[in-house]
Order: sequence, then C-alpha cells, then structure tokens
Amino acid sequence: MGASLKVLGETLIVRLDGELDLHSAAAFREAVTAAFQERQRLKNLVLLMHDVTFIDSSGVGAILGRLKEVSARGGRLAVVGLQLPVQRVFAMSGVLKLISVHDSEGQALAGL
Amino acid sequence: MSSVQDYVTLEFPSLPENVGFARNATAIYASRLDFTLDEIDDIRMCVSEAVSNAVVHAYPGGPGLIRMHLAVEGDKLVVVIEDQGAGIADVDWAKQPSNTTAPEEHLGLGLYFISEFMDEFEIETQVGHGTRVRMAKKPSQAKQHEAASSRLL
Repeated sequence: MGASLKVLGETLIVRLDGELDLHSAAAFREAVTAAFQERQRLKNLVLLMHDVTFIDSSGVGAILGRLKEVSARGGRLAVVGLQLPVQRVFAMSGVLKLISVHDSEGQALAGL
Repeated sequence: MSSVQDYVTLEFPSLPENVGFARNATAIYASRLDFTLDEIDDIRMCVSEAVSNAVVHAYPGGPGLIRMHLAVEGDKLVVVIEDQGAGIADVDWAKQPSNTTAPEEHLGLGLYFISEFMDEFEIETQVGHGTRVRMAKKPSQAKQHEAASSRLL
C-alpha cells in the first residue's frame, strides 16, 4: 500500500492506494500519527481512497483509531471515493454511522 | 487413472506481510471455480481475517507457523488455516461482533465477517495447542444450478 500526505490549513489529506490490511495499517497509522505530532495545528483528516482496492477489519480499525485521534483534537475525519468492496466492508463494520463519506475531495473539505 | 484430490498447502511464518499473500493466493486458487468477482472478494476478506487472527493472537511470543490448506471438494472451495499457538479460551464469546482480546484498534469483527460471508465455518481450538479454522464456500451459480435441478426432480 502507498500513502502520500499533504497539508491544507488545519487538515491533513492522505491519499491511499492498494490494500489496507494488518500489515499496511501499521504504516498508515505511523505516517498519520507522525504528521499530527509534527504539526500541532492539524486537527482534521481527509482520506482519499479511490485507489484502495481492499480493506479488512484491521484496515477499518486503523481508520477508527485515526477518528479517535482527530476527535481528541476537536477535528473531524472524512473519507472520499470508496470502491464497492471497500464500501461493503465499511457498511458491515458499522463505521458509516461514524464517518462521513464523500465523492470528491472538495466536497469532503467543504463538509469539515 | 488415479484420482488425486485437487489441493494446495502453504506454510508461512505469522508475519503481517504474509496476510496479503495468503488472501491473494487463495483468490487465485478460488478462480478455478465459478465464483463471481464479489464472491472472490468475500473469500479474500475471510482469509485475510482468519490469517490476521493467527498473526495477532496465536503467537504472542514471536512469529510461529501458519499452515493454510486450500482444496476443491466437489463444487466448493474449502480453506483450512491452522496454527499451533495460544488457542482461543472462549470461542462463542470470540465469535460475537466487537469481542476481542487484542489491543485497541482491533475491532473483533473477523470471525463475525467469516460467519457472514462463508457458507460453512468451524473452529477447533485448544488453549496452549492451537487453532484450526475451516471455512467453505460454494459459487452462487452452483447453488442456483442445484436449486433448479431439485425443482426438476
């Protein structure tokens, strides 16, 4: 899995690709946590997930962990562009009730 | 001609990087049956959950061995994932959604997902000796064919 990060004001935008599982979730967690520690003004997180082809409960758990992290900073988490298999796992995990899902990055940023 | 059952057996250490290999090898093997792409996705996820469980729970002291057995039995895919690790003290409890003994960020949904997405799912486990997860799935097209045949009888 790959991840590229950019900062826009108080928001960290992370583009993910590939498969988000037990192995890649660890790298994702470390990258996001390090970025938040480096920049104290960051409070929101937007995950661009168009190119994520697979996720399992370890991947969903890592995203929920980041939700906790942004909530502790008074921020919000939004995800963008879920492929159908990923959307199904989100629905089954019950996280669609907790996380806002958007079609575009602009829409996600506007909703923060 | 002798009849040799079609199967593949893989052994690998319980390292997180092997979870992806296990699920994708299973998806390739499963493609010899008439599964839809959605069904292949379901199988990949269930294997990912079962192997992740073995990686996270079975060997707390360091990597141990995971053995994965894939077979075609009739028109169904059978996947067996075994470890010789810690075992599960209370399987009924562990199967309930959100129940987990793993540290935070593990959702405890793995066994629940497997029970939802596979047609058959069994766990044999003994504390201190290991766990054997067996799951099976039949392509929906084979199930429809069976239903149609039984209507004709």
